Amino acid sequence: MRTLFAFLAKNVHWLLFFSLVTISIGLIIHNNDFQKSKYAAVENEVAGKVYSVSNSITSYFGLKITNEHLSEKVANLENYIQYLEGQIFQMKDSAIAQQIIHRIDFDSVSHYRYIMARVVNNSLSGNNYITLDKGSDAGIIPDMGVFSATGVVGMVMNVSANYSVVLPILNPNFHLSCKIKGTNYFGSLSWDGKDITRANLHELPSHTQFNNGDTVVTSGHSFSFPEGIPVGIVEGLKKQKNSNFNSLKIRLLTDFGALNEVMLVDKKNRVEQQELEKAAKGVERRSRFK
Amino acid sequence: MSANWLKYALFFFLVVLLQIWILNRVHLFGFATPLFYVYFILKLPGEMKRTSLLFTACLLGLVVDFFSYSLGLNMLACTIMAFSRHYVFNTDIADSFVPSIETFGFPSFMRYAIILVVIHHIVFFVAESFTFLDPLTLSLKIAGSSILTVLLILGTEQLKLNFLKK
Repeated sequence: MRTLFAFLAKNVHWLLFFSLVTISIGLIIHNNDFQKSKYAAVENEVAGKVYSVSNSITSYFGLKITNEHLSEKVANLENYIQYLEGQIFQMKDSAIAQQIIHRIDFDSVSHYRYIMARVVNNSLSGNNYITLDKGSDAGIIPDMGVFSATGVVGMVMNVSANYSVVLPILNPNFHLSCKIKGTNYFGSLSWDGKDITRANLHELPSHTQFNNGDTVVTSGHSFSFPEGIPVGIVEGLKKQKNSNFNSLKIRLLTDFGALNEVMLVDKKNRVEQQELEKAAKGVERRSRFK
Repeated sequence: MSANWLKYALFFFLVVLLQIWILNRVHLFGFATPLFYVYFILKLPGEMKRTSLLFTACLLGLVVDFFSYSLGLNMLACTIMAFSRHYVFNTDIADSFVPSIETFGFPSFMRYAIILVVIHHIVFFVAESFTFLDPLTLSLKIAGSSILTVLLILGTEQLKLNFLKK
């Protein structure tokens, strides 16, 4: 017995080593579950505070590019407004059009709400996450869509009072339903972990017509994004595994290396709709078992 | 003793902040990210008990993980690296020492740093790439990041040596 204790005391570092390795492997495996748990909100808040210190300095470096993107977007929107105003002007004389314009309640027409936020931390290696400087206090909730002036960034995964963590396109756990602009064929966008400027569009039906240089946009099928937010540019066909589906190589429009200002978007009453759908499914299941 | 303890605590925070604020954002040629914070494990006193060494390294990894939203990754790599440290030492060194170019000599220190950094990086990137499984990218990442980390560590060591000589 004594020799056993002596042996254990002598080799206690082995014991410790194996228990630490087991713990860390357990943490790695459950990391994704953890990121969705309420404990992650505490991590989120602390890490957010630490990152906002460094961001107060580094955010100045990207201002020039951010400004360029924003003014470009403003210019595009101005053009669009002028175009719409022209259309309204043309229809002005028609009595029916007049009635329609008067009846539009612009608040209910827009089904989406938008929130601006700033990136306080952003990594570019393997399993990436982005931290934003606003949280539930500003009305951010999980699963909101995030996009920059140039294109889609990702989806909100976790919120605390003052910060939120985004699952960006550049994370292997990210998937988003996308389509090629002008068509109605959908594919699933994901990242292969290699190049931070490229992603892949999988499961696109093989008869879909496309050209290199076509724009890939959000399909509007997910709750997170409205239809038509640009994601990337088609660069070519990837090697095929399945003859019924194509995989395309996409050049991402968002420059993840120079992210600064982002916009969050959410379908109004999304939570209500999801709960209703869930309840409806529950009723259906129950009635099936009767 | 307490002054020494304080010095190491300060060193700990310094490498963690350097790693999460600056180095985690470095992404050279699309695959090389220096994990310079392991320098702390290299510099822990040689006579340190293996259990406390394991605990310290594991804590360091956990803190870096906390800020990278990747619980367990750095912790695993640091634990394995700290465990192997004992086997990399040359046995003919006096009991009390801090690993450095001065106590080891440049070639021995370089060997010591390279072996441990490569062990750490292999564990880290293999564990990270579970979902990717692309051997070429994986080896590029390990090689590129290891070279960058070792260069940073040797550079810091050499600078410190020159500074002390003056």
